[in-house]
Amino acid sequence: MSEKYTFLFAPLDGVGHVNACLGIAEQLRDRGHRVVFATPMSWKGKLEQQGFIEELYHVSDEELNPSQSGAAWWESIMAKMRPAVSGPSIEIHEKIQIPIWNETLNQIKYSDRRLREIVSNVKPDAIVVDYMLHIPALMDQGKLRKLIEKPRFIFIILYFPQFHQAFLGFYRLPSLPLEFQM
Amino acid sequence: MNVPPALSGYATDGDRTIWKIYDDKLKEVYGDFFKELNDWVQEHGGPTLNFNFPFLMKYSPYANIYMYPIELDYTSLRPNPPNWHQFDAFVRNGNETFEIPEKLRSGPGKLIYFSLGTIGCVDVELMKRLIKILGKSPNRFIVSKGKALDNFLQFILNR
Repeated sequence: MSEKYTFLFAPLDGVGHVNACLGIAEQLRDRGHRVVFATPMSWKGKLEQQGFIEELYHVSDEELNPSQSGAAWWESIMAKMRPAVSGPSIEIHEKIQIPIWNETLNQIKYSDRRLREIVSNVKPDAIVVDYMLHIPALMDQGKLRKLIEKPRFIFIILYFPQFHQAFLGFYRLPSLPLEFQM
Repeated sequence: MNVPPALSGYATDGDRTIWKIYDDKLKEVYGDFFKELNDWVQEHGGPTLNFNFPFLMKYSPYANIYMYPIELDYTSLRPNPPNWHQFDAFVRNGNETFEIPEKLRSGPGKLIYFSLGTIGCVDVELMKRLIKILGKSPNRFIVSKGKALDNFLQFILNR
């Protein structure tokens, strides 16, 4: 039997981000590794059901109001942002991305202490994140070395390829190439 | 950079002076947010971040992976940095099963799942237009509608 490791997955609070992690997490789980998911409270029970260990954290004081996290939060924020979606992409940055990131940063700040506690309790050999913003509790090597005896590697998963390079026409298709105009 | 700014929608063979204008505008739009993030990260033991939009983070020194079909990737214009790995898909088994509706099981062409994700699908007009265009294709589509289009999924059978 080969050596078993502990993997800590910490995706951004969104279905797509968690799903991006699941494919890899399932493979690791099936090979007998210990796989832990650190997620906001709104995910409670959903990952345990699939054979993963859950470490939950709060993202705000208003957590009891379900519209403050998870799918309900995305739903409400997207409903609010809808008018801007059809606008030029720079307006999408101003009117959609900035408010979402402001909220995400608040959540990162709010959960910092608990995330450090989770890392220290779980003692992962590897941390896997799906984020675009820096999370010191998960990504800072100096501090992590003190918490984890032998951190092996850290994966960063990004399921949004469009952010990795130019992404053409995700929000708006001003003029479709001829071959699609059927 | 040999590719247009992320999320700009500009073509790879477009006017590069516009790319620069867009990049500058991005720095302006994200200026306050980036400063707040950077200050807080440093106060909490993190590094000084560079404005490398849209990744306002330090990449992993060990392994970074991203999902994008290789056929559509931009690696001919922009080779991947060290420790970056491309995957066509992140396939998961999950614990739910999805039954393909009877009327979609057979028919001409391929069966294709189509989704624009969280943000794209709230643009109802865009989605309607795309569905109309997809409807003219010889293939069968399952379109992820999102909340804005009332129900979760719409099934379109082409003939």
